[in-house]
Amino acid sequence: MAWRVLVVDDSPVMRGFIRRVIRLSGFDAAECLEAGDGEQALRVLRSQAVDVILTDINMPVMDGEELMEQLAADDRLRSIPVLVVSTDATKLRMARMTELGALGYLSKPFSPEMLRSELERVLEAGS
Amino acid sequence: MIALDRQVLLQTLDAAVNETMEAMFFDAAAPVREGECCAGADMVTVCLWFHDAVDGEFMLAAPLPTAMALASGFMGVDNEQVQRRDAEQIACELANIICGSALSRLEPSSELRLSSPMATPRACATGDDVIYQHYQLLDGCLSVSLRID
Repeated sequence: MAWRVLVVDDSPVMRGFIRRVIRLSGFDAAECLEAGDGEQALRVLRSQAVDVILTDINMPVMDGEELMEQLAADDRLRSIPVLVVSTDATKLRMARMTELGALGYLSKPFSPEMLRSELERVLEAGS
Repeated sequence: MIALDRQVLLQTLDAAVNETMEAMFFDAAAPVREGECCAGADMVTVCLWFHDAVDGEFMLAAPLPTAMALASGFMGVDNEQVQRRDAEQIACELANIICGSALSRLEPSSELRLSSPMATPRACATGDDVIYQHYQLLDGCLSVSLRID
């Protein structure tokens, strides 16, 4: 099965890198959609089908924590599995994002193999 | 507040730089203890600040050709397509990842707050209160520095 992925990050170059790494890793992605912050992500999610969300935490307008809260409050979106991808690898932040419903947490730096493995694990955990 | 053990900070920086270069830039970084990577005329230098459990500043500098080669690899485009602005953006991403990785190792149980990295015309940080390290890459060199207030 090919998956539809939404990459949420305020850095266009990081979004481009993640899209490229997803492709290089061999992960079966049908499409990689992009959003620059949580608000844009919600707009995409309310208009298109998405199988898994990769989100950064620190973003302007709406950060990753608020995005998680909004997803949890939406009946149609709360079942979409979320993988957090962040430079912040502290235990407090990981615990907070897990508490908000993230099924995976990948700290930067990460290799293509690590990204693929976490995406597959999160999709399986969310099924 | 972490103890300012110079050796621990250097080892932590080495680990963060190595892991970042290998995993995300498909490059290798060897520490050069006596090297000097910041002496060139045309440098890309970026800085960011961190605060909470530890306060301070992180800087990353590379000669423009090195920064452009790193950007080319990260973006997956030919070197000729990379502009200075791209090199600065990628240097900001690199600084963010290395700094976050280093501080998460130093203080895994604390909160981490990083400012957005930005390009700066300032020279590399040096001085007694600054931990700095130079790295030889496959194609060029890189310097990083960490000042903890």
